[in-house]
Amino acid sequence: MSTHSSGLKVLGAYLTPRKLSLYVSMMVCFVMLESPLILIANSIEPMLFGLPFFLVWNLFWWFVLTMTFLVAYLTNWGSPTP
Amino acid sequence: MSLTIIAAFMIIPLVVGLMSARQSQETSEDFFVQGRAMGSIAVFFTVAATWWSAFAFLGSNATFYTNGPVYLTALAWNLLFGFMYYWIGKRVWYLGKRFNYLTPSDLLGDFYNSETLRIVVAAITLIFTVPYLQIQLTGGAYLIEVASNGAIPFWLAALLFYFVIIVYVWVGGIRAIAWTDVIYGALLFFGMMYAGYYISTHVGGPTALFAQLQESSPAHLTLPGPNGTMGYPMWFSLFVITAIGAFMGPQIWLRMYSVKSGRLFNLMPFLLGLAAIAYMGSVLSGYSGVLLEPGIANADQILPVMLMNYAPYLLASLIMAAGAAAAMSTANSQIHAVSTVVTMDIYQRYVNPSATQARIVFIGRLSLVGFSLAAYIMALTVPGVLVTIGIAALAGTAQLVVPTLGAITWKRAHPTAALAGLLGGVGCVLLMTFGPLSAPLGFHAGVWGLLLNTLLFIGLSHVLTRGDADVVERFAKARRDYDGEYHPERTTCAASAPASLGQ
Repeated sequence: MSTHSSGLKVLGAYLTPRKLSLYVSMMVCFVMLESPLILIANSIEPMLFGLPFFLVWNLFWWFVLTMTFLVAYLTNWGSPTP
Repeated sequence: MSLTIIAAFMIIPLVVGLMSARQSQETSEDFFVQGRAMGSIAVFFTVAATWWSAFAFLGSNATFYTNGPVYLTALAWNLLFGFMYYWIGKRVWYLGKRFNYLTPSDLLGDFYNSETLRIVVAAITLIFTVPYLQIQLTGGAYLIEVASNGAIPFWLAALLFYFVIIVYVWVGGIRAIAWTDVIYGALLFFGMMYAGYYISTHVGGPTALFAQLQESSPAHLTLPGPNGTMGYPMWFSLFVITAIGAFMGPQIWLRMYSVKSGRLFNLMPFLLGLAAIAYMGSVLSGYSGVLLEPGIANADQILPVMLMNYAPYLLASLIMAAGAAAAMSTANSQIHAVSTVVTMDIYQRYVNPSATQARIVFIGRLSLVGFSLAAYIMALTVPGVLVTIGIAALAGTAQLVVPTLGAITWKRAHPTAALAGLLGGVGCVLLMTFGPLSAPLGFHAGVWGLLLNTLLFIGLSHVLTRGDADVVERFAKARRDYDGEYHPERTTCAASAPASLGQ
């Protein structure tokens, strides 16, 4: 039990809150783009801005993940800046 | 006029490559990895242009045209590629700098302390890179043939294509490639975007295009596409195989070893992800083709055919030059990378270990010619659709990711497990692609190969124990030093870690 809690503690230190939130955001975006959940968005309607919904869905999550990468860069990927 | 553009397209990179060669030194490290001192602009363009190939420029249009939206998964695979370039690439770069690696076999052979594994890794990189090289040649030559209105036949276009590459890589090595890739990269992204926008104006612009497509061929706008074959399994397979397979290609490994500063890796996921917007050009041109030119037998030619039919001759030739740039920027890197593998992993290690630097560079140059010739012969004699050949080749190199992850993260990773995993994974890909087995559930053979590879690797590594504690400790220390430099929070907590962690 003590090893288990110690392991979690170390994992917690390993993944600082900033790093954890970055990686969770990235994971969510990849899940939205590549898990079977993508099939929820597999339709033409509703067309948004004249584009099929499936295309908009992909562009939206692509944009969110790209911006997350930018935030990751600006925050040194969650590690203290050297 | 188009012949003038083609001539300029051939001559300008040649001049740039030759100019860059003035800074070259006759050492293997300079010829193969630019003395590990490549700066940020060159790194971004050479990685992006190498990663984006004829597969992206022609294959993407062809796939939207014939199979609907499955290629949209490219947005995600670009992001995965960028993420891996940061997470895996930075660690590979660090180890490469520390232990003086030049090839994938150097790192894997050293960590696993196995000559057999070293040879297997070299064989996988060579065998699976040549078909991918072939599709670059095929794609580039298609474009030149069409752009010249048939005045330059396919065989001559392919020959010219390789002649130019061989000359500047011969004299300048990876430095010449990086310089020319800046030009190729800019041309490629502009060309893809503009081609899509321009062609879609012939059907009333992007929104009119989608409205018409919804009426005439709605199956093109959702999975599994008009043929009913490109559903979720292929969506996921392309994502995994393309990103990992391309990332594990020797040409990308060299672009990890060549980087000057570790901080650059932090920015690459954003830049590579952002560049993926160029695929919107392929969406527009591929779908416009469905309305404008239905029934083209060879889908890989849809973009060149539409350009010749709907764009002014000058613009069409310029955009096709951009497509040829996509092919050349990948081909030059692949020829250079396979010559590096042959020279360092075979010649220098087994044939002539005491070879001088000048001799090593000379052998590297001879290998350039040999592999170019092999790819040229294959392009003339082995037919096939670009994306089909490309995916099969990428599925093979993708198998290297499993032992690579083991080498950079896991003390228990065992050489026998790595070897069994690789042979199992590659065997699975070959049997399901060319043999009697068919890939279950619609997922590509490469995905099943990766699954088998991973299971064998993890399972056997847990059962077996390594006897070479000194090698394991050398890498563990390197990893600790890496963390100390780039993730200081880890070294703080590692001090309080229980003994089992990190095993």
